[in-house]
Amino acid sequence: MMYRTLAGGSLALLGTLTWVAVDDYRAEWRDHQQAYAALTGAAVPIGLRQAYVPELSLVDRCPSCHVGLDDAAMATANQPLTSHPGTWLATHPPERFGCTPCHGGDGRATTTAAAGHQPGPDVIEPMVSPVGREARCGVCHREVEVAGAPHLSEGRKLLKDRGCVACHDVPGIALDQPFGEALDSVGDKSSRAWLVRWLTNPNQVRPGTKMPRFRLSDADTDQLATFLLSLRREGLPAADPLNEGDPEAGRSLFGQARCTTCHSLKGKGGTLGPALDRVGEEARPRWLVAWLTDPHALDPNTLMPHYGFSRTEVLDLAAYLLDELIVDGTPLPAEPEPLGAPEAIDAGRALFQALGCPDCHRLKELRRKGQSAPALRGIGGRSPHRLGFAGLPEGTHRSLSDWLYRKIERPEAGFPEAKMPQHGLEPHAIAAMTLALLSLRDVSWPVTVMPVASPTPAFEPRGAFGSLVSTYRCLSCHRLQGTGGDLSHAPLDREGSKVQPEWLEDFLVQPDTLRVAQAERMPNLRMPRSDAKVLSAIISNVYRDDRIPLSAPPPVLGPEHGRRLFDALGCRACHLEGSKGGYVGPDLARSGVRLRSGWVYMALLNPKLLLPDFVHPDYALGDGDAADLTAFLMTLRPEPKPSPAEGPP
Amino acid sequence: MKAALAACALLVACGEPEWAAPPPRDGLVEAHLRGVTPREAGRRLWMTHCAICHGLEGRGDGFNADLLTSRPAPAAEIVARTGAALHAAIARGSRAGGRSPQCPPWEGVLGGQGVAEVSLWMQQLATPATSH
Repeated sequence: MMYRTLAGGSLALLGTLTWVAVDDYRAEWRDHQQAYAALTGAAVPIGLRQAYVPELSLVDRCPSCHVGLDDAAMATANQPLTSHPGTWLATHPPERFGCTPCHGGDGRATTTAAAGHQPGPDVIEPMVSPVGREARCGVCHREVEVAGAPHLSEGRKLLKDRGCVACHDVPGIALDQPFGEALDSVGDKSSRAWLVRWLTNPNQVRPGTKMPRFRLSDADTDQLATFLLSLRREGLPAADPLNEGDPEAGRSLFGQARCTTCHSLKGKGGTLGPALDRVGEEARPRWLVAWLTDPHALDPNTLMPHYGFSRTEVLDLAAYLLDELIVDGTPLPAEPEPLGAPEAIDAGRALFQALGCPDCHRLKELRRKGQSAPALRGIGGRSPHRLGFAGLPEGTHRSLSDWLYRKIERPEAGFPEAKMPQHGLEPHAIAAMTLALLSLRDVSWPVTVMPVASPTPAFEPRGAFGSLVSTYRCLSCHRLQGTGGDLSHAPLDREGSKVQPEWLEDFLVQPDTLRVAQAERMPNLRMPRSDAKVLSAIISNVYRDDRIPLSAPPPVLGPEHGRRLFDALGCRACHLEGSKGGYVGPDLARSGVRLRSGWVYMALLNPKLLLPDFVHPDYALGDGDAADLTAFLMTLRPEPKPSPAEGPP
Repeated sequence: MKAALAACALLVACGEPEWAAPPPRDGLVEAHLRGVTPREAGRRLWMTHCAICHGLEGRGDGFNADLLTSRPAPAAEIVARTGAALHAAIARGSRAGGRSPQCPPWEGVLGGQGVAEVSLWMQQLATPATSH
């Protein structure tokens, strides 16, 4: 009996061992390697292959099946034999970076299923999709703009632009200035009715606003309004624009100063500043006069420039805004509402802090105690098994990425206690932000592998130039040394090589229209000539590109040949010259006083480099033609007009 | 022993592994972040480079159309006239085609790929006109 049992056991063991050997021999990677050998006709040693990266403790056996990975001849072969697309392997050689840091999955596995090509109940970390792979780029590449990862870059920019980083600490992304407006004088500015309406649903009051919607009870809203109304500023000067100002003059000033470059009316205009359709219901006269006189005194971080308006102009403009920009309701009475009871104000203040409002709206009277929402470092590495999916809408996969998407989409769904407000974002924006969050994985890889991205501090010009750049808020629209807004197409970094100092000075004092088709125009800042002189001198002498000569080479056949080229190439289709021409490009009538000839010459030769954000064609001009055309353009002066421009054809 | 080996060989021969690797999913993120198709890229280029004269819908009625010495052609007309030479017409501009010089050569700034994308979108713009 014992012998029989032992014999049976031995046979079973022998069978199992045989099966193991056979099973191993049948491993799919052998077949792929044999198929590869058959395709290439080369002798391929059959065996497990792996990328071993001791620095990262990585053993990625993916090349066992993906045999043709670095074989360019396999570009059109089917998976798993196909070669790696793009130039990624050149920049990220597998022997240094492995496979799974970019692709996810289980690198030690030797079968398709175990490697995690698809999510499954047994797969701890499935491979990432082509889009999700961008999040993997971001694990090492911590800068905001990551080349080759457009969605990730977009998501990271959104985390900043939509103010996520005001409340959440996100490694590598920080705001240059507080996200919301200063509220220190909001009690002088607004009424309870307005504040209640605003807090209840900001997007309804001002479509497109970045202020999110908090889920507040009526009592909460009322408490917050009581607190906000208590925020007053001593000594706002008395003013009565509705009686002293002329709304008609104000309306024309509103147009002249080009307020709609930043503010919209009836949906038309810029979005840098708030829409002004209802400003008459929102702001009290005295506050508005103080704001238009010197906005920086009321909010040191506003994007709005300090215009050099006269007292009369301020009163006229305020009269127009208060009298005409009202949708339903009436202008607010001059005097602020009486203060609430101290206890009610205290309760409102406590709520203001509890909701995290000071993260965006700095108050002189409140000291911030750090950011109100959880830090997001490492959130991209959280395990979906430890997240709650109850209450999330149908169609939500039990994955971290879907969870994050839902959380941003509707913070209260599945998380009724969540403080996070609703931001009303488009699905595309939510997806891009989710990708940016997925890239926040804490890995302890050595610096030899991770590029070290030190966040570049915002550029702050100093001295007289710095104070003028701040007064006129040049960087709200223009970029300089990597800092600033993008409303203006061209960064100012080489403006000094482009325009002539005298023209720039005149333009700053009285900006004329250069591009008729463009809605965003340089505002008329009412800048005194002394300020314009300083700005022009610095920009002309400092912000130059030394690769661009100040003067063009002399013409070869002369400006007359340039004029014929101007006609023959059809430049007038886009550019005004004299009274004729199109509205696409800038008016060239005053090129001779506006532009530096060296810049015109270089831009004609290489529009893609010097006019990257403009729609300027490249005529592939020769050096001589470019010099002649430049010479012609430099003859274009206001008056007296030189004869070549007016000569008979 | 021979039989066992033969059995093994048979097993190996039959064990053709099935290769099926549809791209793994990232659920909602993937659903909302699809790549830009060449035609969509062409539409964007059309909006930034062409629409100001040729019109948003390619009817030759852009903002700048009235300021030209001759009306810009509608997209459908250009597609019909140039046929297979559409790419060259965009790349080299109207002057190379013996017409007014008002539409510039675009190859220099858009590159061959950009021109191809714009061609795709122009063919799309021309489709409703040719279908009836």
